[in-house]
Amino acid sequence: MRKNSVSLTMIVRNESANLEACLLSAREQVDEIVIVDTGSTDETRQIAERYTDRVFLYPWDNDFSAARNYAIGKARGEWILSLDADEQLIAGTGDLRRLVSTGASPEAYMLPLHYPTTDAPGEYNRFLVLRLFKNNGRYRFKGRIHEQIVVTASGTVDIADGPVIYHQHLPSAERNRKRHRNLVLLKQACAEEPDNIFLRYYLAVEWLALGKPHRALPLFREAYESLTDDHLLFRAPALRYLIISLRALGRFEEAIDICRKVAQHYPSYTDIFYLCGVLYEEQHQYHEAVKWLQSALERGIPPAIYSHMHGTGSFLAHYHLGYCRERLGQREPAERHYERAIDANPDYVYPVYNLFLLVQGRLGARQALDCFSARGYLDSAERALAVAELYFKAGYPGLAKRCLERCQTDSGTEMVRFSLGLYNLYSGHLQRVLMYLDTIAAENPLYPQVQIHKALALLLLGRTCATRTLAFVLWEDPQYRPVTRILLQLVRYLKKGWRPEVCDDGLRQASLALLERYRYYLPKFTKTRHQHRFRLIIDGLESIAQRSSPQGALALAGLFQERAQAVQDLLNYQFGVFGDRT
Amino acid sequence: MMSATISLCMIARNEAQNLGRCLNSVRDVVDEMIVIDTGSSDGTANIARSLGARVYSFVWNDNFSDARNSSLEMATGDWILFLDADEELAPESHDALRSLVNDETVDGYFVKIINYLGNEGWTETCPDIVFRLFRNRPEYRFRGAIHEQIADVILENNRRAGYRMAEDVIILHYGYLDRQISEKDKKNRNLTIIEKELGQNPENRMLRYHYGVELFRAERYLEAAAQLTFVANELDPATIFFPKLLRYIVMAYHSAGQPAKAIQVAGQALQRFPDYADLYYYAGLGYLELKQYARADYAFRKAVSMPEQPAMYAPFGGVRGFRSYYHLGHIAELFLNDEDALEYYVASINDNPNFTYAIEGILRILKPRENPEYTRKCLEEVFEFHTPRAHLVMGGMFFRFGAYGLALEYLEQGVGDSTISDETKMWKAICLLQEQRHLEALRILDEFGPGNPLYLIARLNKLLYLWVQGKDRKARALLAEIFGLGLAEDTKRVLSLIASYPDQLPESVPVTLGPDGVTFLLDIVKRLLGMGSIERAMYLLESTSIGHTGQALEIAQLLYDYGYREQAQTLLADPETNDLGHQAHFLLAEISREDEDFTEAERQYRFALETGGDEPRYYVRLINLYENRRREILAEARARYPDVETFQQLLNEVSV
Repeated sequence: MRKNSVSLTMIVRNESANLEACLLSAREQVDEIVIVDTGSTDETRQIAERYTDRVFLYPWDNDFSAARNYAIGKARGEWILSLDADEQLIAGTGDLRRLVSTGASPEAYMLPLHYPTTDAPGEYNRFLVLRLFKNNGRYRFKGRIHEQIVVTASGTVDIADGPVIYHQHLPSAERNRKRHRNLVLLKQACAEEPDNIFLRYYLAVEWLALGKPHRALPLFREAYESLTDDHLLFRAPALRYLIISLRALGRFEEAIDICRKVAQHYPSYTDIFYLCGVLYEEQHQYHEAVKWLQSALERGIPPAIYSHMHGTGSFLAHYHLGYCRERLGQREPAERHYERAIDANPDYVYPVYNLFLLVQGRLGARQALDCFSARGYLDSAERALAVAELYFKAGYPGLAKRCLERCQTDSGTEMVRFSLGLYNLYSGHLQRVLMYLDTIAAENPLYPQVQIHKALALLLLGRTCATRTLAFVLWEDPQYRPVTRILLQLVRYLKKGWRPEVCDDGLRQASLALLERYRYYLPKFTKTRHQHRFRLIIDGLESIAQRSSPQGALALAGLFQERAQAVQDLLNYQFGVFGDRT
Repeated sequence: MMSATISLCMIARNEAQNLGRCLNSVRDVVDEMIVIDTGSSDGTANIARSLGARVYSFVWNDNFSDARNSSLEMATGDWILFLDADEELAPESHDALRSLVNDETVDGYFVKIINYLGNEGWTETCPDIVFRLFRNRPEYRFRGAIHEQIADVILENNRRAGYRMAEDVIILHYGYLDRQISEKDKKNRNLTIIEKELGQNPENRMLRYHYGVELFRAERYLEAAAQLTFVANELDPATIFFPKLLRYIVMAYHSAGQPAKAIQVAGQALQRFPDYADLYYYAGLGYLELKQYARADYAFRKAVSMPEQPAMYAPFGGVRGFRSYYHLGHIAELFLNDEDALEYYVASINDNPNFTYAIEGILRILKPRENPEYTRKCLEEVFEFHTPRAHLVMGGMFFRFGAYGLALEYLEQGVGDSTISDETKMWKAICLLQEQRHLEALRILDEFGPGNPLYLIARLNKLLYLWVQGKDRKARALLAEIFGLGLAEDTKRVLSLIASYPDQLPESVPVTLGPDGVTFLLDIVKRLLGMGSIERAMYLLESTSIGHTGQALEIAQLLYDYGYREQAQTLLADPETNDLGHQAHFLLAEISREDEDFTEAERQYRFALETGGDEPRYYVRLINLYENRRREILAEARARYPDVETFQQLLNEVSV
């Protein structure tokens, strides 16, 4: 056994989608890879064999620990790193080899694990997990599920800052499947060991994740109350989840009560302060909320021993502070908080939306764009797309177009070109619509949308023959037949002045959908011919809706009600609601 | 028991004009009057003596406290009433004064003072509180070179001294009426002196308070706010001037252009003084500045709903009345809510008939030029115009609004039998011209002789008449005469255009004008539009380049106001002026809306919103546009599907 050598041990089943990424992230930091396959029916084994010749088969017997211990038994390194296939080591967050060669006394290390809460990067909970330990026969997994390494001698475990393990965000279907599987196993385990508070804690975690906070609540309460600070690794998340469960159940006052009580006991536990702020926010007590959120900011990232939701001491706190300040009518400080939230986590998009509304309210939509651009918010294609969509939905296609024009050269993805085509159409730059949309490949799932928009541009340009040709292509897909028929009717209306005929439900819906889109049409310069055609198109579509059925007329009226309401909302946002007593 | 005696004390220099009023107002209520003359040369001392005062002279040493204290030295009464010569005691205060001095538990009283301010042609009152009535004790002496204080001296000498507010004792102060409150260098001089004193007594809160106020007056607002905030944190909130102090802080932040801070302080202050109208008022002003109109509306409505204010608030005039009502009207107007706006403006006028801003607001809504009869009816229902002056003011206002018929009527009633000023005469002549009463107009215009400063204007008006009437020969003769008077280049250029009418073709090179020429030309255009002479107006506009410059919007607005929508639209839709501002888009939208062109109106309102998101009316119009369109659709559907009741129901809901 070479000194300071590390063996990566994994148990896998049907992990062909994830395994490679995991192995790639870790292979430079380990000396040996041991993979135990518990019965894959996909490519898992082949993938594994590309990275190691130490792949073993172990027949699955509903016991995670047994499989893991089997893997440990095969390892030849001095240290064991245990990972799951849906996990990875985050590059640049720490060096395994250096960690194990410090010559320090610990026989095991807890590593931080980032468990994402949404698809967006940067939104995750941070836990500590014991995944790195000496391969000296003393460390074995125990428990069917949430199998844990049993630490025999105290004082031999240390906490490491890195490397950080990143848990992949699974598609919700797969996540739920795993959760249900866990639930079954945990219930069974709890029945076998009714006094095991840890198992009951894990059971609560699953209940909460499955959206059943009322089931989770008593278990978390029990865990929090019966554990001591010697088990802070469990007690801290139990407390956090207890508050979260109460919040999910709408029992805000109880939750606030707990926060206030424990804040003194855990003065460095950022999450508690953050949660208390958010709870006050939900109670519309914004002054109080601001105080607690500020405290969370001051605390920043808590010591590693506390299970922690990333951002509660930075961008999330800033985001909520922005919101509270806004509610208090303090718009300038609100803007600053949103900006800092974005700076702290550029991938967290929500504050972009609030900031957009604030800046637009202060400077006007056009000046707001200059401001966003100057701050570099449009530099990444992804954020530029998001901001552009905000502009588009707010009724400014010309400005949406400008959001994307700076990033088209460096990252002219199809999504950007599609959006540019769209925004050019709605801002009346009809020639350019075709230029952008023609570059999008037929394989792109957006392709039918591409063609519909192309047809609309052609229609506005008065190129009725080309419109008709395109319509016949669309006809091939039964899904697009109603749109096709409308296009053809509009061609007839434009060319010969024949009003669209009375029509069926499908047509009604398709015409309303098109009208809904035309709400965003705002051409800067109108050539009279364009404007005339536009009027005819709108007239045609409206008369289809109006004449199809009473429902059609009702929906059409509803469309205008929605538009009025949207402007009213904006008005209320900008100037407040009259008669409001705050 | 014998009633306590009162000594009036004062210092005076060259106050012959005021002294009589002051002494006469107190001689029946005090037991002695002491006047210290600090060096008068106008007979002040003799007047004082003739009214029964004891007069002593004191050599002025640049220290108000020394002079005042010398008057106290001479006093023999149990109480001192201290007045300045430009003040008087309100007659209704006598009884209160006599009974207050018999209260054994009190050492001094704050009394109410009403400052009269000359402002915008009418007098405004500004109440405040001052410490002017106190027991006569040798240890109670004024201190401080400028803001000579006595209240804190008394407190230092007698920790248990009791102060009260004497609500019913009122001093009237006329000193601000006929002179500037204080010139800049005087303020700075005061500041220097207080700074020196403060250096010696850094703990003196009263002095620091005055220092803050003096900083405020010198327009050093942030420093003022800092000093006053410091005092506020040190001071017992029960102190009589504490509310005033808080209001000063709010005002300082407001004047420093920090409305958010002003609002915050006002909010804190309201927690202690929840019925203090001025705080709501300034919060309202802050919200107005931040364009948070709903909050501003709430604040001003709170201000007008506040009860009678205690004297210690030193409430500003109009805060619970015309000023707040005016702002409420203005907010309603911004949201195109004419009905409420009108109601608020009327409430404002009812509170203060001289507040012309509110009248202008009313006229903006009533549009006297377009609806003269309706305007007259509305105004006469609400107001009573008793004095000729009121008529004159209204006449001038109608004149500015281009409602020449009404202006004429009111001017005539306003003049009455009195002699008529040249300016009013000229207004009248112009009104007569605009009303096509040419002969009467010419008669007046010809009265202005060559020596009169208005001679040129009279001649120009005659020229306008001749030109519009097509009397070309006479016009040319008059033009030659006018040219002989020596004119500015710009004026000449404009007049040359009149001379060459109608030969100057729009295709030829347009005439370029300076700012004065533009103003002059637009004046003429406005008059022409008022007379319905659109060809001549368009001729002037098209012969110059002003349609393509910054004036395009102003001209389009003018054309639109006078009902020439098409011309206005053409001017703005000109491709050369393609980057329109939001006001231009809004005007175009208004025109399209009136032409019932929904698509174009919608487009233009949305463009207006793109850069003018802080104009509520753009939103309001767009909302109305969509709602009207919805109503149309529902009405059409009701006709198409008579058996479906929903449409009728929805239409009913809308009309409710």
